[in-house]
Amino acid sequence: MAFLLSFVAGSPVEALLPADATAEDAERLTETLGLDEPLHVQYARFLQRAVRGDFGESIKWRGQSAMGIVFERLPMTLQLALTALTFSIVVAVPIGVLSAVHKDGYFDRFGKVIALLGQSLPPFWLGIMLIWFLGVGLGWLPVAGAGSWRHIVMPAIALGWYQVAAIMRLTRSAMLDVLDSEYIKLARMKGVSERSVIWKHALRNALIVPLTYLGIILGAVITRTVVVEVVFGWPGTGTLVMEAVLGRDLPVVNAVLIIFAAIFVVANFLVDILYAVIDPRIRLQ
Amino acid sequence: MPSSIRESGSSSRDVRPRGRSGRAPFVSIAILFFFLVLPSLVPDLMAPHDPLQGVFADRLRPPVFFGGTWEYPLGTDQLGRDILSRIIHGASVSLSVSLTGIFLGGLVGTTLGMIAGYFGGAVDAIIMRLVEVTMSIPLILLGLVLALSLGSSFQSIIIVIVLVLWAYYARQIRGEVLTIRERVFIDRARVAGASHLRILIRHIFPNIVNTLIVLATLQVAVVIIMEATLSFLGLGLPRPFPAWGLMVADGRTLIVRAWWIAFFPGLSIMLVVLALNVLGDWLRDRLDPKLRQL
Repeated sequence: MAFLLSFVAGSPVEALLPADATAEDAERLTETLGLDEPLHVQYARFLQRAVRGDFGESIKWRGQSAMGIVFERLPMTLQLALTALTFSIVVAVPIGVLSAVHKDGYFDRFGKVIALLGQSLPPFWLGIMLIWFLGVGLGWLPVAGAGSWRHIVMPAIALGWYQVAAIMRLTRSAMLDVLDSEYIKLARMKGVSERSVIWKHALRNALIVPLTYLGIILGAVITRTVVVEVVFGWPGTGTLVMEAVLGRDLPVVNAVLIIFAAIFVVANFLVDILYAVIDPRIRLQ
Repeated sequence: MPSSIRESGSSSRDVRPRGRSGRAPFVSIAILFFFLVLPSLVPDLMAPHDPLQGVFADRLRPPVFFGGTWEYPLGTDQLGRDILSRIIHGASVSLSVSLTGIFLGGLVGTTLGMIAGYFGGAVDAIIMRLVEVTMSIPLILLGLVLALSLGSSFQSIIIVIVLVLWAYYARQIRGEVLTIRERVFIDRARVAGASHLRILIRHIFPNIVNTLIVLATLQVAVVIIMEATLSFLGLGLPRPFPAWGLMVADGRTLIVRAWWIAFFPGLSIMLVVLALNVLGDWLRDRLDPKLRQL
């Protein structure tokens, strides 16, 4: 797929040559890059290298391998994404559980408002507003860059907020289903404390649904990560891919694409494993 | 991008939560009418100033109540353009992009979803693999690559949106067609000699129209955010087009000196999307309780 994209994205030859280059120059460069060979030859060579994680040298950052640059930036992106997801879960799950327990109460209504607001806030705008309020207005947090834990607070909130709404609603509805089931009644009859019934017996089973959701939305989270990184100048793969695309640096774009795809696969695999940890019935099958 | 997540209604106590499927959400409809539809139809009647041509002497004027005047109710940007007028003209961008994108995405997705669900077998397998692949591509990468190859234009945004949206329609519609296919009236139509095409159009399609309406309403909200995100990154319509996302991007660097440039367009996005979500929730409860699991 990355290979297809490299064709759609336009010839790197055009991007590399100065504006006054002649057709002859273009031909020579095409030859050096091996772009004059038939498609299937190019494709075979591309695959061969891609399997080894070799996408060639970056066009924009001369002398560095595309994969190397991506790996350099990747930890920052993972750090941001994981912090944001942790934020979403820590905020959303308790609100979802309490909304279900106090269904139709004030807390439930409060939760609904949060959910609606979360789904309607564009992350980039939320990011800018956070910068304005917390960064510039109150001066509590640095407005851009990375370095200390204080740098990550605002990007993590901007990125995590959108998921809060969804995870909360899913937790709430799953909890409502679970709290209605037989074994919860049994647990209550046995005299298990209410707190233990809700937070241990019920929540464990209810968590499956939001977990599945996390696997599904990963592609969208990656998109939002790119946007949030750009807003906050976070030095991760998101800002990298924007720079690479603007500079038509195809090796880097390809490398990022492959890494994103790999993250997607690995994350879905982890979600499957988590299922088994949470629900022993799945382990048996 | 997945459409917003809904609560499941399978709990016996939660079949019809009160207050949700009852009254029509008039406030939301009003917001949509005055913030989205009306400004798209008659922008020139509503906008007090030219959205593209600013008065340089009046640049960076604050909104009224914040030291500004009624001349520019929401202030002006760095080129002296009236923010209110730009927001009003920007509504048509949001509306036309989302309607076109949803119509085309829905058309492609519904057609493929119906084919997959109705014929099954290898066709189904291929289409569903395509759906999975599509859903795993982050929108942003698609947007980046297409904007680069085609240049940023109305067409390239629409292509990105169609490429992202069709999969959600295809998956949902296929699921519904799978169950409709087994119903007796389809067999009868076959026996009566109806062709596959006729069955798909005359017998299956009417049964999925409700689903389509609900899906489309909820997707408008998603697409407006998508378009705004692409515009914000400079992958949407080119400047100086008054797209809301682009306006937020323009105001980003001036947030300290002139917060209103980024604030009001973003607020418009939020209000419109909020109203669409509320309306979509209500429609879903009214038309198609099956979709509550969406």
